[in-house]
Amino acid sequence: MPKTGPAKKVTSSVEERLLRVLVVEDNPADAELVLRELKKAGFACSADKVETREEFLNRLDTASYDLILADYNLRGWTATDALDYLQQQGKDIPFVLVTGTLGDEAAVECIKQGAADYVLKDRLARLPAAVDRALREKAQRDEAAQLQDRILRAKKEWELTFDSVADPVVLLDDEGHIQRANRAAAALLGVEPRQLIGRLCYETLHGREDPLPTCPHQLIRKTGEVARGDVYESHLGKVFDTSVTPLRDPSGGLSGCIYVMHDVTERKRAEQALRQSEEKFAKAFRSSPDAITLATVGEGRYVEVNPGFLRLSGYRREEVIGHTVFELNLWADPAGRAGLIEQVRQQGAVSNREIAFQTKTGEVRTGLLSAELIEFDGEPCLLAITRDITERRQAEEQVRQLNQELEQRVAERTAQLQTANEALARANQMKSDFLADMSHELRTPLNSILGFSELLLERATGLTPKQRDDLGIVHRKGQHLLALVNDLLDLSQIESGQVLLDWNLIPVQDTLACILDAFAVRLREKNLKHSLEVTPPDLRIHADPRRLEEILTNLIANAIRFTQRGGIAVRARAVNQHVEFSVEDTGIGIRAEDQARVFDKFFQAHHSAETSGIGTGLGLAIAKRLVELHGGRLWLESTPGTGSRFFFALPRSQPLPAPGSPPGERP
Amino acid sequence: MTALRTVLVVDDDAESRRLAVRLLEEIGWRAVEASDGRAAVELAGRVPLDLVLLDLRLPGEVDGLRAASLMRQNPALYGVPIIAVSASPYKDFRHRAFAAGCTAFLSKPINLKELQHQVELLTFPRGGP
Repeated sequence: MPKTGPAKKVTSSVEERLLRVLVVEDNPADAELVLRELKKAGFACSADKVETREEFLNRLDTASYDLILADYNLRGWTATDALDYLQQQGKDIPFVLVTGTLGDEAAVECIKQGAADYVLKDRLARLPAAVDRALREKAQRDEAAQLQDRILRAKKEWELTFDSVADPVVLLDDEGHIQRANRAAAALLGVEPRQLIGRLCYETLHGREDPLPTCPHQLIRKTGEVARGDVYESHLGKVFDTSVTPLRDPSGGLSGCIYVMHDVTERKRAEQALRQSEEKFAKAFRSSPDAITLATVGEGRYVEVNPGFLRLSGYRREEVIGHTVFELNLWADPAGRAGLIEQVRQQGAVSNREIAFQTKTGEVRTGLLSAELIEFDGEPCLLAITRDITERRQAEEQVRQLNQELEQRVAERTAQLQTANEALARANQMKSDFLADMSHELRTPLNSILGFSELLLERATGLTPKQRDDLGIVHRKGQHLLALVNDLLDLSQIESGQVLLDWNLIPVQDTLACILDAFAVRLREKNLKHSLEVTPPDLRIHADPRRLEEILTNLIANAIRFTQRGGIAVRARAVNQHVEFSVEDTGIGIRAEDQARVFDKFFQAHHSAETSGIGTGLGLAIAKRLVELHGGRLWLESTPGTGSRFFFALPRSQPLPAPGSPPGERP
Repeated sequence: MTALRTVLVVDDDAESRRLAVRLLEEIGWRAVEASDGRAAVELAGRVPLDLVLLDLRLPGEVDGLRAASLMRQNPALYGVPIIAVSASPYKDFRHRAFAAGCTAFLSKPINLKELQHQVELLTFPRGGP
């Protein structure tokens, strides 16, 4: 039975289970005595008894005990050894010495080593109280250990939580020094949490040298209340929804705060974008030159219209809002709206439909309407944008009319040109006919003059020498006249554009040799030397062979005519894309003032007897025009008394074909 | 002595005809004359000919070129040389004359030596005078 309060208190907990006791005693009688004393005091025990050190160690290793009762002096070892072992093993088992005698020193030593108490064998009555106290102390120690354990766990949990929070959280003291910072806070600033401890919040969080006036932290220093607000951290380029909760010391004074930052940058951006978009829309709505209207589908009652609509329709705002399309008589054809709404319902939207609308003054204008259905305040509405294209239509009409006029004028002009062309063709034909007629009219009499005089000269008998000479004059002058007629007709043909060149690829060397051959007799008669030089020898050119011959014949005939001594030299050489021909003589030459005129018709630089043969005065003019017809040019160099050199250069290839064809010819 | 050969001289200019006839008679030809194309074609169909001297410019519907092609349609005139004569300024006219069936081409005024040469050349296979 428990005698004392405290003992009872302890045993009340022990009652629930057996008190497991290890008795360390080398005297079995003493061990029994001790256990009996405990049972007497009301302890329900189960006991193991050991004597030797080995037994002791063995028991401790295999079983657990609530209490150890030990004699001090054991055979071969002492309680001190047992205590040593317990301490060494970290086993906290209440240990009460029960001994015959114990010196003060040994007693103190044992207490130091962890024994709870000691009881002398002759005073065993004190044992229950000592055991009770030892058990109670052990219970207190266990409780303290549990508490400590809970505290440690709680601390760990809290730290884990603190670091798991995705938002940066810091604890500040009342001066703004960081006391703690979670991982998110450190990560935000790119450091380790410990690197933040002790630093000033505005330096680290705001990147400033002084406190941020708008920071909620500043607010709670004034009000002491929880503060919250958006803070833009310019050094991070982010916006945080920052909340600051005050921490108070036991006396209620502000000891610091918990500073939580929630990143709302994305949300702010989205909000800003939305706001800007709305602003843009509002601006577009206000400033659009097009009419924008929002009206209920059913009644056509205007909910909102823009200034563009008011401008276009001529109504004042208050005359429109709340009124229906039909009251305002806006549709020139009221049935048109029903059709439009039907189409919008079926297709979701309508774009660029041409409509006629009526303004306040009754003027009917043309518009391009685009519309779609939207819900506004829970009611289906038609959002419509109408562009006034009246002016554009008018302009298009004007353009169409102008085009028509232009086409008409072009047609008229074409007809005029056609007429002119026909007139020109007729004129050309007439010119051609005239030339043919003239040719016949001039040549037919010459046929008789030349023919009969020749016939007489050849066949007549009995003519006196004087008569024969006179007849010779008739014949020669007739021939001169024929040459003149031929040249004149030639020139007329060239000048009236009737000559088409017959382009051929001509070997220059052979052609020139052939032409020179024709002059062999005359050269021999005048005892003139001649030379031909073609570089390169295989030079070829595109030209009309007959016309080229005509040019060269004219030049060579001229050179021979004005040369009495020396000779003539004919040359041709390739110069880039041209062939340069030249005919050089050692004749009388041409005075500088006459050089420009030698190509004029009928210009004769020399009328004296120095010249031999009779020119028509047209040869050079014809040569010049034929050269030009080939796309070339003709020029001369001359020194009076020394000689002349006529040049002409022709393109090696045929120039662009001349358009048109000569008119029809008559015999 | 064989029979005289016959030449048809066609020209609307009487003096030109006379000149040609005089020369051809001098070198041993008998000449018949026509002053327009229709008469020339008609005559050529009637009289056996050995040569035709044909001015291409003739009055009326049948000009020289037309007359030459009409004569060429007559089998009797198949091998008869036709010497075309033209005072045209258009040198390409020569081609049209050949295309119409002429055998030779002389420009007017006629060079008598050239005419004689052509006549002898064209009629040589039948023997000269």
